[in-house]
Amino acid sequence: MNNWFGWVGQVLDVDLTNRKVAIYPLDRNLARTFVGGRGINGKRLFDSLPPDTDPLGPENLLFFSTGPMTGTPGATARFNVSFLSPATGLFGDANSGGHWGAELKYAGYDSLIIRGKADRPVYLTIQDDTVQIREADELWGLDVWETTASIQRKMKDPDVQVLAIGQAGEHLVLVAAIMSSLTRAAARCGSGAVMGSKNLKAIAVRGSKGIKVADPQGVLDNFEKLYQAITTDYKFGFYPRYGTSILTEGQYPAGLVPFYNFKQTQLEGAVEKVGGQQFVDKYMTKHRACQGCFLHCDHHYRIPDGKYKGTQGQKIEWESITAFGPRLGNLDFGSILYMNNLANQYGLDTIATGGSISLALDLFEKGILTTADTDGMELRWGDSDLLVGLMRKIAYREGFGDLLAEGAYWMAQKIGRGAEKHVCHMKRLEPSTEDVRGHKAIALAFHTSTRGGDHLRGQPPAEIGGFRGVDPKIMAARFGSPDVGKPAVYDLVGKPRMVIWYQNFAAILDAMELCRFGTYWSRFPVEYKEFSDLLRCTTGEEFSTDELMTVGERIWNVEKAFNLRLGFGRESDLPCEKLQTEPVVGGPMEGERLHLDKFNDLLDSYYVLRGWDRQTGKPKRSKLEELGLGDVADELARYGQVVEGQETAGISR
Amino acid sequence: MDKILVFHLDRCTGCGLCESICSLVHTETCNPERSRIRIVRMEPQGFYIQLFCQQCEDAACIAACPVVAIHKNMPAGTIEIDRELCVLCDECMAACPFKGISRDGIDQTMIVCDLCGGDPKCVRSCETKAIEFLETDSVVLEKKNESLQESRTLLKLVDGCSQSAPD
Repeated sequence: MNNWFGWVGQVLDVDLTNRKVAIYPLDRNLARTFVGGRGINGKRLFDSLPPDTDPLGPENLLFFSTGPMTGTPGATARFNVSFLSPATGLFGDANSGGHWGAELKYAGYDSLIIRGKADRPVYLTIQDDTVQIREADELWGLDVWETTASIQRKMKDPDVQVLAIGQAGEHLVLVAAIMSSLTRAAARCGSGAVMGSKNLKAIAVRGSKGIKVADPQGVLDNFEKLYQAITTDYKFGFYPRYGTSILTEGQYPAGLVPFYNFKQTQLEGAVEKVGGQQFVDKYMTKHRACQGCFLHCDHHYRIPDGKYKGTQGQKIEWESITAFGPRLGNLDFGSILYMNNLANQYGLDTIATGGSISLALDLFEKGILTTADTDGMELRWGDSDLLVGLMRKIAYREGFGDLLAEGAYWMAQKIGRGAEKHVCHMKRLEPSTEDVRGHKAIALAFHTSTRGGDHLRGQPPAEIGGFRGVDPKIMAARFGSPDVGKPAVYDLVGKPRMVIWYQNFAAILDAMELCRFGTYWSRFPVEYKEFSDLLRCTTGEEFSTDELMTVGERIWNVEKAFNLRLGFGRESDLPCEKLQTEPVVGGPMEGERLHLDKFNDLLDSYYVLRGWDRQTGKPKRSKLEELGLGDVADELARYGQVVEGQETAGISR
Repeated sequence: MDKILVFHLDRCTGCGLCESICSLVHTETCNPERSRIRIVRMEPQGFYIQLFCQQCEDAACIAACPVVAIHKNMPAGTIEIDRELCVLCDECMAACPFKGISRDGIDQTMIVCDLCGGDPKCVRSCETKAIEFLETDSVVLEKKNESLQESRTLLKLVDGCSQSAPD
C-alpha cells in the first residue's frame, strides 16, 4: 500500500508501438507544483514534445490525467487530456466529465499516458492492475455507442466505463472528439484525431481499489458545507432544471448568440424555438449526472414529433444547440438534437463541426463555393435535412465532407478565393459559439486562450453579469475598475485584470478537476479558501490560497511557453480579419467589431499585468523564476522566447 | 420499525453520490465497490437502479444462510451479518431478490445496509430525493413495493444485456 491521499499515486504508461505497459509512481513534486489534471499534463507536454513533432505521427502523446478530488463526493468528476493539437498545431487539450475519470482513479491511476502507434486497431482494457492491449478489428468502424455496448458485453460488465472515438476519429477528422460515458466529450483541438492516429479505438476501465482520503470526516463535513451553500443558493435551480440550455435565454438579450456564421445576434423567434424553456417543456425526459455530482445539469431527452420522432439521447449543451442551430440559421430543435446525437455517435466536436458547416453555408451564399465544390448540393441556411446529411460526410470524410473535416480555418486556407476573410478563428481554433465582438473582455479571454478560442479558458462571466447582474462595487474592488461590467468598453485597467483572474481560476479548477459549475465561476460561494479546505482534507497537503493562485498562473505560463516555443507570439493573440472588419448587424451590439488599435492596447495591458514583455508577450525570466519555472525559462532561452535580465521597459512607461 | 428507505427510480440521476458517501462513512475511503448501496446504470435507456437491503419481514438471506450468521436486529429492523460466523459462501447474495447484500471490494466480507444507526447518510446527499427515509405507512409501503417490482424487471434486462455476449 502507498501513502497517497486524494491522489492514488500511480501513472499508467502504455507504449502502443512496442505494446508495452509500465506502471510507476506519480512524481510527488509534480503533484505539489501542478496539482493534477490539466496542470500536470501541460508540464509533461512541455517537457516531452519537441517543436518539430507531427501532431498525427506516432511521436505525439496523449496525456490523460485526473485531479486529486476526482472520484470523491461533489462536482469533481472531470479529467483532462493533453496533446499537440492537429487542428491548430499548438498546445491542445480537452476536458470532460462523466464517469470515466473517476473509474480510472478507482482502478488506481491518476494519469494514463499513451505513446506511439499500434500497427493495427487496438483497444485498451484496465481492470485494476490488469492492463491489456487487445485487437479492435471488430470495433473499428463502429460508432461510440456501439463500441461502448460491445466492450461492455465482451467484458460481461455493464459498469465498465468506456472512453472511445467514433468514425470521425478513425478518419483523422480534425474536428473529432474523444467521447466517454456515451455522450460526454473531451472535444476540443482535434483530440479524437490524435487517438485515431494511434489506431487506438477505446480505453475501457473498471476499478475496485477506491481512493484513500487524508481526513474522511473532514471530507464528509466539507462536502456537507458546500452542498448546503450551493443547493440553498437561488441560482442552484437553473442547473438541475435546464442545464446550460437556459443560456439561450440569458445570452440572447446580451447579443452573444451568433446567427449565420457570426453575422448577427438576433433572429425572430429564436429564444422561443431553441431556448432552455422549450427544451424542458418539450424534449427533456429525465435528469442525469456526472460521477458524484448533485448539480445534475445533464438530461435525457426524447424527440416527440416530426421527422426524428422517437429519437432519444443525452447531454445537450447550449454550445451544441447554438452550433447546430442559430449559427446555421436552423431553428428546428428536433434536428438540432438529432445532430447532437450524430455528433456523439460519430465522435465530433459540436462547436467545431457547427463552425465548419457554418463557414460552408456562408461561402456558398457569397458565391465562393459553388455546387461544383459541394457534390452538387445547394447549401442553404436552416435547411435541416441538408445539415443532418453533412454530419456523416464529415465523420467519414466523404466527398465535400473531406473539406469540412479539416475545420473552418484550414478549410478556408484550402478553398482560397477570399474565403480566408470570412472564417472566424482564434489561433486557428473554431471559437466557442459566443459572438465576442461586443464584449471586449470575453474577446480578450478568447484571443489569449492557450488552446485557441474557447469560453472555458477564462471567459469572464462577470462581464455579462452572470444570472442576475454582478455588483459593480464588488467588481471594482476585485478588478480595480467599475467598467468591467460594461461589455463594449475597452477598459484597460479592469478588463485585462479580470481576464487574468478568470484564466488562472480556470487553470486551477482544471488542475483539481473540479467542475466550474459548482464554484464562483457560476457565482456560487466556492473559491480559493474552499479549494484549500478541500485539498487539505482530501490530500492531507496544505495549499494556501496564495499558493493556489500561483499554481493557476504557473499552469498558464507553461502553456504559453509551449506555444511560444512553437513560434506563436503576439500575432497569434490578435483578432482574425472577419472580427476586425465585419461589424455586428442589428441587435444590442449593432456595429460592434474588434478595433485593432484598441485591442492592441488591451493586449499591452494584459501582457504587462501577466509579467510578460509588453511588445512581444514573451515572459520575463524573473516572472518564470518567481513561479518556479526556471527550467521552462532555460528551454525558452534556446529559442529566444524569454526576456532576460533587467529589461522592464513595459511597466515603467 | 418506524422508518424505511424508499427509492424512486424515476428521480435517480445515476451520480453515485450515495455510493461515495456510504463508502466514506463505513470504510473511510471513496470506493463504490465498498458501498452498501449500489447503483446500476443503464445509460442508453436512462434507467438507474438502486440496490440496497430492503429489511424484509421474511428475509430470504436469513433462510439461505447455512451457518445462521444472519439475523434481524429488532427493533432497528436492520439485517445483520455475524462476521465471525460467516463462511463467505455467497448463498445470501444468491438468495436476495433485491441484490441487497454484496461483497466489500477490498476485504471481501459480506456487507449490508445498517441504516447508519438510524440516520442514513446517503439520504442527506441525494439532491433529487431519489432515496428517502420515510415513516412507514400504507402509502409509503405501496410506493416501496412498486419501486421494487420495477427494479426487479429492470435488473432482468441488465442481466440479459451482460450475458448475451456473442463473442
